[in-house]
Amino acid sequence: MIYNNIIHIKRDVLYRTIKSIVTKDFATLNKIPYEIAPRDSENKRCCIHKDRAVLKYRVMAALGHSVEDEKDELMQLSDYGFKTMGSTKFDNRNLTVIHDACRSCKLGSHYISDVCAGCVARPCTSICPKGAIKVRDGRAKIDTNLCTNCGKCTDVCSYKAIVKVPVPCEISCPVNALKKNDLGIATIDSEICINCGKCIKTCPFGAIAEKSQIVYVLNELREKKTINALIAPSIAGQFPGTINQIRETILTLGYSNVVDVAEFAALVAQEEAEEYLHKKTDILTSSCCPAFIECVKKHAHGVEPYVSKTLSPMAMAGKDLKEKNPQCINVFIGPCLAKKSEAYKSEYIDYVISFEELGAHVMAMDIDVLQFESMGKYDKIGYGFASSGGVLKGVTQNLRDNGVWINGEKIDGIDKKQVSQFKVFNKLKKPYEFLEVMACEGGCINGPGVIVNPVISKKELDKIKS
Amino acid sequence: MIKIEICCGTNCYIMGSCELVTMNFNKNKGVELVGSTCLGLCKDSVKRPPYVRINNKVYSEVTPEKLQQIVLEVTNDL
Repeated sequence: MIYNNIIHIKRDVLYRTIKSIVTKDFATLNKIPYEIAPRDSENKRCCIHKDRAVLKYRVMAALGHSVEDEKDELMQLSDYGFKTMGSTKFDNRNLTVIHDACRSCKLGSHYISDVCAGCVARPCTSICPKGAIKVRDGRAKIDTNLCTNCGKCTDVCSYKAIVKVPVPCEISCPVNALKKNDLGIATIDSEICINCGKCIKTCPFGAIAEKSQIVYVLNELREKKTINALIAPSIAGQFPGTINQIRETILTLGYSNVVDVAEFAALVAQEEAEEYLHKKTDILTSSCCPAFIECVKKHAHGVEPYVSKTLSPMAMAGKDLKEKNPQCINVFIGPCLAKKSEAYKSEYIDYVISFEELGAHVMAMDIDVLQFESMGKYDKIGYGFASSGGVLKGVTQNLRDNGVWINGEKIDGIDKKQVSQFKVFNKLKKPYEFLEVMACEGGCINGPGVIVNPVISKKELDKIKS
Repeated sequence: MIKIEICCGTNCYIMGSCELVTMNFNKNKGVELVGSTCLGLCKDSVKRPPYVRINNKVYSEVTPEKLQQIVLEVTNDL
């Protein structure tokens, strides 16, 4: 994910929201849109008022509310803040569409660009089955009322002047969960959605926001219960400083314990290797990526028998902690959106927050990560799980120790094409025995909740592994 | 050699300096990019992170695009 304005605004909103909550100054919540977009600032949309309107909804999502649930437009952000503080219940809709931010891009429309030379041959006019293209003023034009978006014209133009205007969110969604309503505004069908979060990364208008659970966590932190922070292996490199410095920082925030999920990732690799040796099917797939699991459950039942029954590292860590102390509260801190859905259905994990949300919390408490001791004891194994190929490597290594050599394959990123392949999985040739699937290209370090460019975190990760 | 100090304090890092430190200025001779520990500019300033300091001059809310421009300006003054 490349740093851009949307990410900047998103983090600014989270930071200010958390600051208002920790200082218990709820009235300042109402000021956030005006602080981020003050009177003389440059407007990013049509006018500053629209910027502020969208920012209001962003704060609403950061407070843990679905924008779709808004009944009273005059309800203030401070009221939403009180509402969240007063409850511990949230639902499993993790994505929300900010309708005011959606540009309502038209589905599959075609457009003739300035490159058109108004040539003599005019193949576009003759190939169009609906006669929708006419040349006027030396340039071809499409009559949108007649055009059916068949796309034949795009191939025949020698200048490649005709382009299909993409709808970023719909293209990015691997399972077609994004639909347009009558006004052309995106809506998400939560029955279909697998919570991969690709739409958040893709929408250049930032119209799709992630509902945060951070306020619930802040609430719990205030009550001084036993709260465990379960940190995902991909945390390496997300902050300036070492893993030990990050652990110290999290403890300073008020968590009682920091647990490395990487440790349990190593256990998962062992258990999956064990499972492989006793499997009844010809192949086995990994089960760590919750977006993949949801994709299988909702869209590709044919893959289900092959999926490993081993718990994910997160669930395994949560189970271990709950067995030791049933009263404890487990907060998973990771880069993943789909983990929210996994945790919602699991009894072992109570809350999930992203690295961005953790980062915003650290910012709000004004803690410098680099002030802590950099060296410390932690296990290096299991960190490989954070990047693509890591699970595969872990499992094959374990099997090799048992004297079994296997062919492994990895699927690095799920897209529309990949999902259609999952649907006919039984008929596919499978020249491998173990399959690792990760929904995000590059693995967890490229998840929707990461802070830094995966290029940097990959380097940091390699340092730890070596 | 002009030293470009990019603040890598937590605030600046999260608000975008994590992206700035990856930038490559080898082509512009005489410019050195340094990731610095917290410059302390966020503590009492009304401006916004990330901060970059060049020759005691402070730039705020620096984006990769803005940094390109700043580097061009600085090298032109040489």
